[in-house]
Amino acid sequence: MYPVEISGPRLAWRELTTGDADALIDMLSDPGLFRYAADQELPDVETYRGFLAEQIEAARTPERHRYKLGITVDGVIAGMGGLEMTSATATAAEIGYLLAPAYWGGGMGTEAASLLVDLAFDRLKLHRVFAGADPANHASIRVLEKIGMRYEGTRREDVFKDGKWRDSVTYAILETDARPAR
Amino acid sequence: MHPVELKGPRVSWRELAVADAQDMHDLMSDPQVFRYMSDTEVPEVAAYEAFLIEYCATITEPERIRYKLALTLDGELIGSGGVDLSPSGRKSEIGYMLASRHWGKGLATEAAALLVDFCLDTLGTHRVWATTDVTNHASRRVLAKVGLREEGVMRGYSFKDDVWHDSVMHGMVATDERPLRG
Ligand SMILES: CC(C)(COP(=O)(O)OP(=O)(O)OC[C@H]1O[C@@H](n2cnc3c(N)ncnc32)[C@H](O)[C@@H]1OP(=O)(O)O)[C@@H](O)C(=O)NCCC(=O)NCCS
Ligand SMILES: CC(C)(COP(=O)(O)OP(=O)(O)OC[C@H]1O[C@@H](n2cnc3c(N)ncnc32)[C@H](O)[C@@H]1OP(=O)(O)O)[C@@H](O)C(=O)NCCC(=O)NCCS
Repeated sequence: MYPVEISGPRLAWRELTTGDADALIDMLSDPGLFRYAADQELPDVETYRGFLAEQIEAARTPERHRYKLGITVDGVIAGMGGLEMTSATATAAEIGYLLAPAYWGGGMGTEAASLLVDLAFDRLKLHRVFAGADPANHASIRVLEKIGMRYEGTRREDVFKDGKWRDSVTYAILETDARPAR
Repeated sequence: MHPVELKGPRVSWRELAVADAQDMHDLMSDPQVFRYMSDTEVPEVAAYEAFLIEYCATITEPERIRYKLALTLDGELIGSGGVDLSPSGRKSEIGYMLASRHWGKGLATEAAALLVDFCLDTLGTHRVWATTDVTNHASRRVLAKVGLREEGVMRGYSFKDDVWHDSVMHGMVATDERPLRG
């Protein structure tokens, strides 16, 4: 499915373009945010633009299984994230999301995440949506709970970050579970 | 790395070859084995041979991430399995299946212990994981015996024989006790 566009009351998800490279790198450079990402070096804008071009090309094929999208508020990039299946025929997808710190604390994370769940069940017709989080990332875990996901377990020493192995908690919601009203 | 050869007291793992297509087809045609495979149909010999030709062309690559292996007893193929590395190369997933006529003699436990040693000692991964259908008690027991712990249950993980199945996630890290270390 391409292009994907989903709007909520306050924010929208849309396809990324190569023109977003500057805004995204700018956003990802925020030290308050990078703390939560797994160990990876930030690429320079040029490399990132090339990476986006590749992603967009793959997104236009029938085998599309990665929905890497941008979050906008009043038309301006405010975050990114998306949904990833292991293949185009998979029945489950993992979601992920991040917001620029300026947008934290007002329910936007919850709105963004619940729109991804709607995309997975209503449009992609998937059965299962899951997400992983660092056990110390309380805001993200709270978001997963608020969108109706249930705790399924803790993978021990699953993510290498800041020179240490960290556990990850897994949450999931099925198409047959209740989706809380928002 | 290539070629892989792992020898236990009774069973051995070796590289899968194109010439194994018929034996692999026979193994998967065993209904008790096929029941726990994700495929919806047993692949035809010719189709499996085509897959093996493609797969075998990749196994000498330096960045190898897939290890599909044949399990042998006295030179005869009695099962298969292997290891998949994560993109970072730091985590590995193991899997195995054994022809039902050989069940109940501890051979799968021996085979799984060899895979665990290979992942931790040879490939140097930090974490080894596996998933099993919650009803697959024999395989859950095998994983427990080689040192993997049950870390949670993923609901609606697979669709087989017209119903959704839950899966146990199992994991082991390099510092865990390894009861059957070779
Ligand atoms: C996770 C993130 C998207 C949340 O965005 P947000 O807009 O602040 O989220 P919301 O306002 O919708 O909900 C946050 C919830 O967490 C709670 N929360 C925030 N910080 C918390 C903390 N330190 N401890 C406990 N709860 C906390 C909030 O109170 C709120 O819950 P409530 O509605 O019950 O009060 C945002 O913090 C972010 O982008 N973080 C960095 C990237 C990231 O971690 N992504 C997720 C990877 S799994
Ligand atoms: C799972 C499988 C590999 C086990 O092979 P095996 O050689 O019989 O296994 P082992 O003899 O090494 O060990 C089996 C253990 O499970 C136990 N077991 C067997 N059936 C059981 C059942 N129904 N309930 C509880 N435990 C059971 C055995 O008693 C033994 O444990 P023990 O040593 O404590 O007595 C084999 O059944 C198989 O290939 N199944 C189909 C494919 C498959 O499921 N692959 C794994 C996907 S994750």
